[in-house]
Amino acid sequence: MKNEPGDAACRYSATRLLAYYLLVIFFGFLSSELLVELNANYPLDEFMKIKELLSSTMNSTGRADDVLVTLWSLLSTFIFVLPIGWVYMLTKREEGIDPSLVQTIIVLGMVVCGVMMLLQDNLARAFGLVGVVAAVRFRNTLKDTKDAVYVFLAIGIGMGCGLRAYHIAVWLSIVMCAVLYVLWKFRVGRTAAGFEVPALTNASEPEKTKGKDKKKNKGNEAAVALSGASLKRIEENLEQTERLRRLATLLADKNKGIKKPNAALIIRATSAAEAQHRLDRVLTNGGQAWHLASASFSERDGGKLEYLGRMDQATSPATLIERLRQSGKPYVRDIEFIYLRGLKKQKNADESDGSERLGEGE
Amino acid sequence: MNDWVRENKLKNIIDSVTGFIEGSPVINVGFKGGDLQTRLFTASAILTLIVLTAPPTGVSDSALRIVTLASAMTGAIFLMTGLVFTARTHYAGIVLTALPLIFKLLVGWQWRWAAVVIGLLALSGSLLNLTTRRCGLNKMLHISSV
Repeated sequence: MKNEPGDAACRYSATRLLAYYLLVIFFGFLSSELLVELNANYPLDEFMKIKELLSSTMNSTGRADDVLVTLWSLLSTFIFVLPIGWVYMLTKREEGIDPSLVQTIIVLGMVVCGVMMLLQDNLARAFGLVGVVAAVRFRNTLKDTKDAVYVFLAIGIGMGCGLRAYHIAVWLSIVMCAVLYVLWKFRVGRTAAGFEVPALTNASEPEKTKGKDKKKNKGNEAAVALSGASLKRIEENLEQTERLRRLATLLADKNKGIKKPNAALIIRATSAAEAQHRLDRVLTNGGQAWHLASASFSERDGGKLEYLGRMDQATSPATLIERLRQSGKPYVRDIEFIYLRGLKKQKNADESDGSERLGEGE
Repeated sequence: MNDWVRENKLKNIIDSVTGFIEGSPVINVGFKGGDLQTRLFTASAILTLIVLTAPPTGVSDSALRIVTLASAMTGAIFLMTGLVFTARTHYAGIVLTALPLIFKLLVGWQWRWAAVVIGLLALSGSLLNLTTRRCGLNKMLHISSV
């Protein structure tokens, strides 16, 4: 099986996360040992809160009971909420799926479950939660009213599991999934209103469609392919190229003899600092003038470096990418090369590889 | 892990204690900044543990257990900061987590002098790292604190 470019970074992050949790457990073990030791040697009776902490630390049976109930409730929520995510993806195929909402539905249910377990029947805690939620400002303008229903459904299931009303949660999950599926299947609210709804092409039977229908369905296929995530990605790429062009214009300075950059390099790395340290040596070598235009970090993608510079005729983008890949090991995850001057006539087809994109956004 | 690490696993462990790296010109411990503060803290913590563990000091076993547990907890925090914030506190984390627990074990067995000897070895390794500016543990973890 071929490894994806981000696999190594993902594995590294997962290992680090696992090591961190193991350390947290180890730290918890050490602190409980310390408390027991302190209790055995020094009188801590006057410190009420420490005493409570000690009793909860030593009551391992009670703790295990709580842990098991919490795990069971969270697992139940996950199991019951998962079909909601599937139904959402099924029913929203035509309009375009929002991947973040699918994840939100699943995670939100589990979060609400945890919150309800914390609140139980405590009114003061409930008021506290209102304040906290107001401070967090968990608000989002959802494109479709139906999306809000999915979010509420996840909250409902989470509340059910959190309050240990599993029977309600499971029926809420099953019945609501069935209702949403039926609504989507029979296009309730669309056909009745007289709208002509284009049928979704069945990918498994492409030969059956002929003539006009085939043309119509091809259009639908393209629409489906371009919908949602694909369109969003194209928009992002266009925005990125436009932004880089503007930065290139700003960087050019005739007085200082700085020519307008004609190419951009976008480098994603597991560690932006280490990658920059290694890549700078290549990018400033041999009088090449590459300038770091921006550096950013995101939890999802890791570090991102954007360089602007001028490509001479002697060096091909593929050669430059290869050189950067070699020197940036193991921190560089992927490299993208973009020409900012428009479409360039390709002299040697063999030199290009999959990573480079000519005239992006033209 | 690269080939160098794979082939010299045992040697690496010894090197990480002594700080001696044969034929390696790599300087990976800084004079200032980097993890120098945490290295100095580690050295002073080891010294404190040695002094407290030495039988002539007369510190009780229970007090020693508390001190070693607190030191190990500090080491665990250093390791956690190294993992989360990618701070260069790995050396302090590993040494301060492992060594106090070894001390606790040896004190439990009433082998206090053995604990002192191990502590002195670790302390000399730690000081050697600071003077030679080389650290086998850093090399193993591909970290440079320069």
